[in-house]
Amino acid sequence: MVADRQHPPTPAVPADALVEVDDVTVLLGGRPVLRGVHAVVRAGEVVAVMGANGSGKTTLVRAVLRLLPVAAGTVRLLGSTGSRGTDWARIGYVPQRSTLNLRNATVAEVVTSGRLPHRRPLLPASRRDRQRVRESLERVGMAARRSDQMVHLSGGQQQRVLVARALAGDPELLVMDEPLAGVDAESQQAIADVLAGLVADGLTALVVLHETGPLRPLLTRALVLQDGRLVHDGPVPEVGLPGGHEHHELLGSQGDHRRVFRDPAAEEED
Amino acid sequence: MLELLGYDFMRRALLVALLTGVMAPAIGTYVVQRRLSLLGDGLGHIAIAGVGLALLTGTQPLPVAVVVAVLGAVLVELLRQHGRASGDVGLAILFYGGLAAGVLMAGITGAGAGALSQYLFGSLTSLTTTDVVVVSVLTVVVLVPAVGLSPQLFAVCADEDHARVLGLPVRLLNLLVVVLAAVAVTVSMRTVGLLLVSALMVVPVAAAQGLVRGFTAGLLSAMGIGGLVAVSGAVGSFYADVAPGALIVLLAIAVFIVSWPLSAALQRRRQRGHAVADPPLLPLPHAAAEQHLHRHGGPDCDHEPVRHGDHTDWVHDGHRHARHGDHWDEH
Repeated sequence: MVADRQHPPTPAVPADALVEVDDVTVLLGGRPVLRGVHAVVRAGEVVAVMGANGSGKTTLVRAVLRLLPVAAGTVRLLGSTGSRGTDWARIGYVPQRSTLNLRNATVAEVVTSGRLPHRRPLLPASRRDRQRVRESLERVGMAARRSDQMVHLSGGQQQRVLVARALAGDPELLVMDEPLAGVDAESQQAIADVLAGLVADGLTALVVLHETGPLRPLLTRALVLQDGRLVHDGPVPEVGLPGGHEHHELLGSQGDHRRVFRDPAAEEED
Repeated sequence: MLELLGYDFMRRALLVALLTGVMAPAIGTYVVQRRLSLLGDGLGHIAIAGVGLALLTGTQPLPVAVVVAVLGAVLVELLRQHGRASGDVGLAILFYGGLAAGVLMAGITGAGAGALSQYLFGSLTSLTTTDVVVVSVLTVVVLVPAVGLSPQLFAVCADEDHARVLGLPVRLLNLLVVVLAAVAVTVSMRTVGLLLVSALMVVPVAAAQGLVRGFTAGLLSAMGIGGLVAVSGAVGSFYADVAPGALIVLLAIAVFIVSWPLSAALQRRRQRGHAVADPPLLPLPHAAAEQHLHRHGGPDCDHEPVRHGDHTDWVHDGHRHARHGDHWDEH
């Protein structure tokens, strides 16, 4: 699988790269879910990771964040190749909501946990910690709900709280996994507005998206995965094509990727 | 009540009841959050092997049982982290092996299972001064990390992956929770006994979670409830001449039962304050998923099925979709 490369060697990695994925293969249960993927995210970019269900989008960001081991290739995150050397305080992560096990925690408690990279064990939160939590909640429009329990919020409100948790740590790289999935229109727009403000301030973002929605104007580039391979690295594909088959339609119309996308064996993998 | 404090043995009993009553729910909060409510029970079984070993070698039961239970806890957590504990069989062998080994070793000493009964069901009134010192020291050992590291432990229990991206030593913190649980279980064996200790770790936590909002408030309330029922049970057992362990656990369950309608009323009030319907979901009204040739429910399907009204949704990368005629809809 490792030798099965379809991409030319990556050009020299620019000095301002925050994420460098070099020929990475990831196996889950012995089956390759990423195959020889090359990708770079430079400072100031807002990069979407797109593709069909099961194409490896989430696997790619989990490998970037070292939540999954890579079978081959290297992931360089903020210049370091190992988990120990990584400066986690510079990274914000908004995982899929379904991974949460929060029961009775309050909104403020969840957001406060985002400050942990800046705090020392056994010491209480500092004034600055509390201030950043307050500002982050205000930024996503959830300040009024700070004492409420997470279980009493709607899906969209919970998602905004998770964005606030990531912001509380003052990240320069924000990694989001399907931030718009199952989120109401108001919260989608709120998340887009927050991200727009952060990007204007120089934030870099890597965002897994099923549909671009209100984030579209912010995206500078898209990585499209198909069956674990990177099949497109460039402008964001057009959306809104009939039937939601945008990836097929767009890339099919370009001609060069048609064969890859119509490979029925590949699509069985979904 | 005051006359009780005139007895040395009763002063020791009340102090130990208070310490274990506060300590067990403190670590129990994390155990419950990680959905390992029965872990305490299993660790209690392993601790019995330690008690048997102490009886066999003529040493102090409490320190030996603590060491054996901690070693067992480390083994349990390593099995879990390597994904081998999911079948439960390994844990069952460890837990019942511990119980059987304890009974066997106690039997070899000639004391029989009877000698174990004060550890199985607690014996607050037979505590020595050494016991009190050991329990006090171990209470500090458990409470300092359980309360002091609560932000870190909360983050790990709430979302392990996110905790890793925060740079927290997740494996170490998970190990810390089970090791502290083992210490709490063993220390509580003189108060409520190893067979009932899990109740003292779990029931006050369950009662507190319904009554107060938030993780930290729940932690502190559970410690308060635990201390209260443990001391009340110890006092009650003196007057009623019944086993303190059983009374403590039944009191804790009584608090939980009383808290039930109260917490339901509180929840209703909190939710009424925010009785705003969710705005409609995007995309609406009919979002078709991408081309889909995989057959869900087949032998090679590892997607999670979710009942949704009259059909089944399949979970993909955090969203759900369902077959609709010749295509797939996002739900």
